[in-house]
Amino acid sequence: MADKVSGNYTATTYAQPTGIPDGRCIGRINEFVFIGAISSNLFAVQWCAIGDASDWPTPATDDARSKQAGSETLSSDYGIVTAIADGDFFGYVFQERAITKFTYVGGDVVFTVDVFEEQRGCVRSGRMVQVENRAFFESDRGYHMLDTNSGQIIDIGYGKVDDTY
Amino acid sequence: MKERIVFRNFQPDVDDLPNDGLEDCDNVVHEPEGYKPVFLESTGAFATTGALTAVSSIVVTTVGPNFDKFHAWLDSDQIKVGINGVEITSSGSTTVSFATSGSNQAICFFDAVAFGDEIIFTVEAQQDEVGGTVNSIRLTGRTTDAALG
Repeated sequence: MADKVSGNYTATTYAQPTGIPDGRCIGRINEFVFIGAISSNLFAVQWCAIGDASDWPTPATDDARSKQAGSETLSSDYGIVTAIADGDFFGYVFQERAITKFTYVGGDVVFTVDVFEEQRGCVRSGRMVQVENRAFFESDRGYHMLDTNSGQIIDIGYGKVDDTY
Repeated sequence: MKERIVFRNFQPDVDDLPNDGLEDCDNVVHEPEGYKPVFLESTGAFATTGALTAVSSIVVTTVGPNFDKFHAWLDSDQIKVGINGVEITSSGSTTVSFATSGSNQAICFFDAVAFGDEIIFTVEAQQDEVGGTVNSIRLTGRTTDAALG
């Protein structure tokens, strides 16, 4: 996948690759496209073959393992998957009441999965926006900003708009 | 007479003391140079252009370095997508549409991501049907000839 740094997008057609799941949120972590809250399991994310968003092998098959494609079902205790913050080396998957960090390690493991925050999450799809290394999101407690480099969360609405929650 | 209003920075998320900015700012629009009054249009109509001529629900996000607008909308029960107001059609000529019309049709979930030259997107629309059931249709796809130019 070649990185692009300038220009406007144009396109006339789209395709629905075989095996691509329907979902409610989408993101890019390393060389993988992630789709979250897939229709068959709202607590899961699934990612494509490395560097190829047209190839979505069935997870846990030899084909998927050879291309590092896979899926991960997160704890239902934290609610459904609502957003995905992009990253070159790691990314963050938001549930309603938690944030999980996906770090690319390659090999058979592909990603290590660590629950990063167990209180604040993204309350609903569409309530997270990412600007470079900052992810702004709304939880059931208020508004927050996640620094995706440091992993620090700042309660930007504390003492103000958060008082209305 | 138009008059630009210049206030201090809008800082509602900063503690009351010390706070040298505005904490409440109503009926103004924030611009890089300051604020201008909200102008409420009492008459008139919006023009429709390009593919966006039969829209019952629309959502938009930005993709790419120039923040191109990627849309998904409902047109006669059918999900459509486009970039900067130009429709992108299925290379397989397949459509995703409600079998029958219901009420309260809307795009409920939508997201897109740039992946090199490609854009990957996912859309879900819902409608209420007779009997109180909610019906969903979903479309997930990948642009096949997208380019940055």
